[in-house]
Amino acid sequence: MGIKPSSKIKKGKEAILVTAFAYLFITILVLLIIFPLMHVVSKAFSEEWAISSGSVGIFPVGFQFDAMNSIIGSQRFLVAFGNSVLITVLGTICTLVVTAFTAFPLSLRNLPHMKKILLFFVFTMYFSGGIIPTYLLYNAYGILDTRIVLIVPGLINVFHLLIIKNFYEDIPESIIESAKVDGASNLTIFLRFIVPLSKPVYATIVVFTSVMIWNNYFGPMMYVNSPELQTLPLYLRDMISKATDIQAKIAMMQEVSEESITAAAIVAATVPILCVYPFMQRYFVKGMTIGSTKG
Amino acid sequence: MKKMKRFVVIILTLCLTVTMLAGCGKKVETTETPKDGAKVDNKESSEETANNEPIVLKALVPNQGGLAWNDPEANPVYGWITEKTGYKVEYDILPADNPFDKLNAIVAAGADYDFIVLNDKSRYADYASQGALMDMKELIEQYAPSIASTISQSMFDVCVVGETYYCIPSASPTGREDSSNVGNGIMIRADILKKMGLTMPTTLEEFTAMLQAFKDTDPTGKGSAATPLSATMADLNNLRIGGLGGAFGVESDWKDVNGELVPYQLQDGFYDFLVYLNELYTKGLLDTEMPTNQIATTLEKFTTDLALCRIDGWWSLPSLVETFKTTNPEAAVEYVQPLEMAGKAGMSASSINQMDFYVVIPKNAKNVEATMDYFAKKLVPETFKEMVIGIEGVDHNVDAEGNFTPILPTFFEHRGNANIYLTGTTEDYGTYWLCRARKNEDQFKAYSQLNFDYGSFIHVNPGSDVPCSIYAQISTNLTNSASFTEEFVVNSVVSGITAESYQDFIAEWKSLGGDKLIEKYNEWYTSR
Amino acid sequence: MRKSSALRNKDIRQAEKAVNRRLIKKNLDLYLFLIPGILFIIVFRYMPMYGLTTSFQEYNIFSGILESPWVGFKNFNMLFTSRNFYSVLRNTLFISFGKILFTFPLSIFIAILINEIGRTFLKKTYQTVLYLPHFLSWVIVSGLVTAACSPSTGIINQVIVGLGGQPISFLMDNQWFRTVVIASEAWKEVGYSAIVFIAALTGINPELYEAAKVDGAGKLRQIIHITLPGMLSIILLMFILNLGNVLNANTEEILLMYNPTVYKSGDVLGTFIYRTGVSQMNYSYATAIGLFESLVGLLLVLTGNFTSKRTTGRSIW
Repeated sequence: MGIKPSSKIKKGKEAILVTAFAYLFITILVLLIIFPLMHVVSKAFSEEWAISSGSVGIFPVGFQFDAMNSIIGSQRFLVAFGNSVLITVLGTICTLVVTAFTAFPLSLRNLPHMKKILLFFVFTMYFSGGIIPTYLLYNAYGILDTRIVLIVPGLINVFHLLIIKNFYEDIPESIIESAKVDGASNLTIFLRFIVPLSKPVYATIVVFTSVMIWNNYFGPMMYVNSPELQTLPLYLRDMISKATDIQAKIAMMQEVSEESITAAAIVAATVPILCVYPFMQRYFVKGMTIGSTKG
Repeated sequence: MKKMKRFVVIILTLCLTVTMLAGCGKKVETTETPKDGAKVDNKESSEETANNEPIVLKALVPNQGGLAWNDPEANPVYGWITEKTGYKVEYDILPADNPFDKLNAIVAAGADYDFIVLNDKSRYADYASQGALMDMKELIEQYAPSIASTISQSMFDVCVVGETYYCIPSASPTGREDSSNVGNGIMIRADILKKMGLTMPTTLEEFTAMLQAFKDTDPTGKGSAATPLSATMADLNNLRIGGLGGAFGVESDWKDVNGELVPYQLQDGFYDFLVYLNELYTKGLLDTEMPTNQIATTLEKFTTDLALCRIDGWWSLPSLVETFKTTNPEAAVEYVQPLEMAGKAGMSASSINQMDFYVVIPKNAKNVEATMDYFAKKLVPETFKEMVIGIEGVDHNVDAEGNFTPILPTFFEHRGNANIYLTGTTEDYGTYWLCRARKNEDQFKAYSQLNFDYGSFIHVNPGSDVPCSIYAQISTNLTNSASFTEEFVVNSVVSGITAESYQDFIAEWKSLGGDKLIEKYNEWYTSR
Repeated sequence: MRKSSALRNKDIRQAEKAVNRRLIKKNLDLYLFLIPGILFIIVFRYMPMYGLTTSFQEYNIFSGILESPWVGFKNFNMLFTSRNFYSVLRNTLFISFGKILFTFPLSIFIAILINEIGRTFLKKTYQTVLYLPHFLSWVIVSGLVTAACSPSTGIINQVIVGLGGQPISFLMDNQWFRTVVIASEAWKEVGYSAIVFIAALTGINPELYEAAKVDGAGKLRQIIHITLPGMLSIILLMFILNLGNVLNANTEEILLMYNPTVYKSGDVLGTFIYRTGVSQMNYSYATAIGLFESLVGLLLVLTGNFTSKRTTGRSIW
């Protein structure tokens, strides 16, 4: 106890109570979050009898890997997984490049008309055509039920644009000025000085965008029909609501519980996020702070 | 120097834009290449390519349940058709639950399917009158005149919307005298019933008591997870048609009351029927998870001893029995007789004029000529016969009077699922159909139980004869009033119904297009 | 006097214009940077706004905007006279404000409590867990919620039955559905939205606390008099940001959890638009609702922003 500098002064009773309460409350909250997740994981690996008798808690009862095997071997899962990876990687790269470029001029306050152009962007944050006109428009563009519709419409997120813009604004102007004196062009300045300095904010945007694309359910549901364009959220929805992946389930019907297979699908779809999650934390915390405190 | 740099920047920016758009475009190209390839092939000449690779057609079909639908391209019939016609069909299947949401979106998006198989009359009429479909009469005259002679004109007449028809109809003339067909009935696990020491219920009272007994005694030992009667939301309507509604006299969608057609929403017993279902629900006799259930959920409950009853068609028997082999070999399934109350009982059948399938070509289809050729080839009488009942002596036998009987189990293996590939039916289909109905003993038993053992309970829905053209005359969106009814029914079953809420519902339903529907149905009915 | 100053203003303006022109000319490449973004925003954000005209039509998807008949305000008349609309609007506001009133203070509360946890390792671990649910998709979370709420097998009902109660069908009960929606939103987002407040806390000058301690202020009084005021402007800002989304009551979440039995309490603008538009093909009517939603949303943000500028001097742009 007591790494804080304030602990030099003796803690009062009240302070101890508050601290104790803080520990208690947050611990309960953390358990409330952890338990349901662990329950799913243990279901994915528990044996059939244990699940049907309802004895699976937060640890697996018995152990089988068949459910996970059948998911990983299911054609539909693999297609959905592949699609999700593809649109997430491509979508994130495209978004980052476009947003990073667009934000640069917008961050230069003394450049004429930038305020107006920024407003032109920001306006779309608060006013939109809405679900149906957007749908009809994509229909008119002929991009419904193609991969384009999964990647391109998300290309610029104005909120992310603002985060990057705010970050650029914090870069000391002297850097830009001195480069200008050396006769560097704007593009050189941007690529040589701004981009390297902005890596942290780019990482933040990568985190935000990739998670958003990976988890997006509504878009693919609205715009995509073909089985070969299914994404993971669509696949999971089918699994969870029991309109099941018959291929994965029939093969296993006797040995593992159906619930195991659904749970295994959830786990398999979440593992990629969990793998990168610890590395992301630093960046999304930073991003949330830049985005909101400066807006 | 500076100018150079600026130039480079311009180029770079443009490149960025282009690669950005093209980069994403490319992926789509790769997925669409096979399609494009097919299109090009086709335009050149369909005969030239027929020798080499089969032409690929894209089709959208409804989900009729059962495992066959999991992979229509793996079925022996599929390979046979491909070989016989020279066309390969890629099937996309609509989801089993809420298929129309998806279908609407697909049709509205102008998808370029070469053909779509619809199984709903009002949906067909709706799309036709909105201009989403190609004029089939014209196409037949232009590309495949032979079809006009193999399919009976009376079937086309039913499908007329406005001036012309937009589909190739498929219908199953069944073994009953009037060719009507009862599909759905309440299935019961006879083995559990026996274990409980009860006999098959015949009255509504007995039925309710049986459900209550199942809940109270828990014969399968599943505790609170067990549910006597499992159902989905859509099943509520099937329960009305398939055995429960008859006790209240509302089994038929339309009923002739003193020479006038009355829709079920306005029929006398409808209110009491909903009160009854609500009672079942609140007592926990009707699946408490009904509003969120999917078809697969009820199936799962039924096959794992969690449910005593559920409602489904006789065609689901083969796959059901197959599942029981793995989960519970001792299980026995039977249909409950339509339940009687105060002398009333019945279930509803639709007439032959309620087509099984309406095969349509959407406006954006690319391979029209090839598709029509494919249809025509499948409808050549000999081809059609072999497609649906196979080869004489191998798959079926024929007696002196010309009756066909299947040779089991080869018939089931070779032609068991031929019906899912139907794109139009010839006039001989009636005789083949009887043979097909016997393709599997379990299925035939279930079919005859519903259609013959309980035959005296069958009331044919007089509204099912209505021609499609009347739907086209109702300009209001019928989907609205239909989904409004479904919502009202579900809500009444779950949260209860009052005389007041019923009156409100009727008023709103009428204003949503119900009024017009009644008017048009009766116009047709009296002028018939 | 007046004339000369006007003249001078004119001069200044002209000089400014000249400078601007020079600046633009010199930095033309920078303007090129904007082209992809602007193109994109026009094609994918402004073009759909043109589609809003369908709300004044009887839109037929096979004829398109150009050939569909115009019907004036018919769709809006239908909308404002329909009983459904008011119930949907009420649900939307109820769920949105429920979320703000519940999630918002809770995440502030969590931020303050986390700040009280001294052990760095534990604090870090706790934060990691608290942020985690935000990164799960709604599909997964709705699946967890549905399973937990099941009347026969759900854990919540097993507890209720264990305590001698009757099982509740949370997702089919109009009295409960909104609570479930708000609670699951809280479960998923409350930790994550605390991040901003935690950041604001670290920005508070530690000397203030020292001074308060010297004055003999207890922990609670420090929180009330230093911590909360120190977070006030960020709290207000977040509140305004949330306000703009009031009509946006998390369509995706509800779409995944609702069913017709809870339309009465759970149907919100987004789901209503989806059903009438996509499922029932009533495009014009659905667009009219969407236009209403967008306009009210815009109005709310503008008002909120104006208020914020007036009271705290901060605005969102």
